[in-house]
Amino acid sequence: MTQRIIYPTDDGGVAVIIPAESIEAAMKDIPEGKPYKIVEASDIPTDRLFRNAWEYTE
Amino acid sequence: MATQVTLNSGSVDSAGSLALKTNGTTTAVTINSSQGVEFNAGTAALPSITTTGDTNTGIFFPAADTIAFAEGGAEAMRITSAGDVGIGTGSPSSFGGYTTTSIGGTNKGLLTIRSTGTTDAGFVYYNGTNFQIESQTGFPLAFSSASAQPIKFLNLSTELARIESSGNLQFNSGYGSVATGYGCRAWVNFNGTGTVAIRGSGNVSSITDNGTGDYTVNFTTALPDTNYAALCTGGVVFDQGSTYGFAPRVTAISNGASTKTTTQLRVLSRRDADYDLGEATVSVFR
Repeated sequence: MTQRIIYPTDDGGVAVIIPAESIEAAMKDIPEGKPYKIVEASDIPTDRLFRNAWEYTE
Repeated sequence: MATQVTLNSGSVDSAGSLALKTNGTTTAVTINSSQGVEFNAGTAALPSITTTGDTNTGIFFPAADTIAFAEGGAEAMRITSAGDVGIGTGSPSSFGGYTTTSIGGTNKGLLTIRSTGTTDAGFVYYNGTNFQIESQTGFPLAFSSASAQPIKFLNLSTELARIESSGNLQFNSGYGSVATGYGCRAWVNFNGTGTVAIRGSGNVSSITDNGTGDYTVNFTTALPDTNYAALCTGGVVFDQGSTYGFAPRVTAISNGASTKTTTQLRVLSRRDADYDLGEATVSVFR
């Protein structure tokens, strides 16, 4: 899958959903009421040294 | 009083039986008071009971206590003295203790079960390699047992597998006996570093990257309850020296409640702190 779903976590970070089969099947895994974006995997930083410092922006 | 009358091609004997002869000496048909109508035995080529204009098709009696049916001068079906039925064969199987029906002789046998009209629902046949039970398009193949009865699979009299009426599948795949096999209900192998990606999975719709060494496995089809067993393994970097842990987060420790639910399982990877795994696998059994 080349796409990801991102949404803000309750502690101010960002969660990234990696679909197994399709974006459509993974949509159910977004917590109810959370805003989200569908982005390209290449838009997600690969340097995870400060992964917990990532933030979600509108 | 005359007790016998000789006809041109027949006779009435002293018991009152009327015998009709074909050539003055061979009795073709006898009508008597005890048996009714008796025919000569006949042959496949000349059945004793036939029809006008198609005299090589009919019924004949090839042996004692045996009935046979001929079509076009060839035997098509027989009921032996044992009650065994042969269709396409004059020598039906004689299986001790059973009354049999055998289909096939020169050609292989095939039993067709139809739904309605000329629509075939399925076949029972030998295809040259396998004995097959085969349904046709639009007709699912089902095995059904009576209430509380299992469906068994045998090799001669040795049980190899069974499906219990509860739905449990039992088999002997090196178990030493036929026992219930408990299946992996979900699994995933993923790379938790760099561009986090799933390498392979089953019954997993996605994983959620929550942060460093913190992932949630989301199930495609929910499990019936949360009493499942989860097995987490992670690739260990050689000679790092520190203790790794990779396990479900089943109780709240510092930030948030357990996420071991019927639809997802949150897993954490830690060394001295949260730690991304290059090869992480999670398997769920129940």
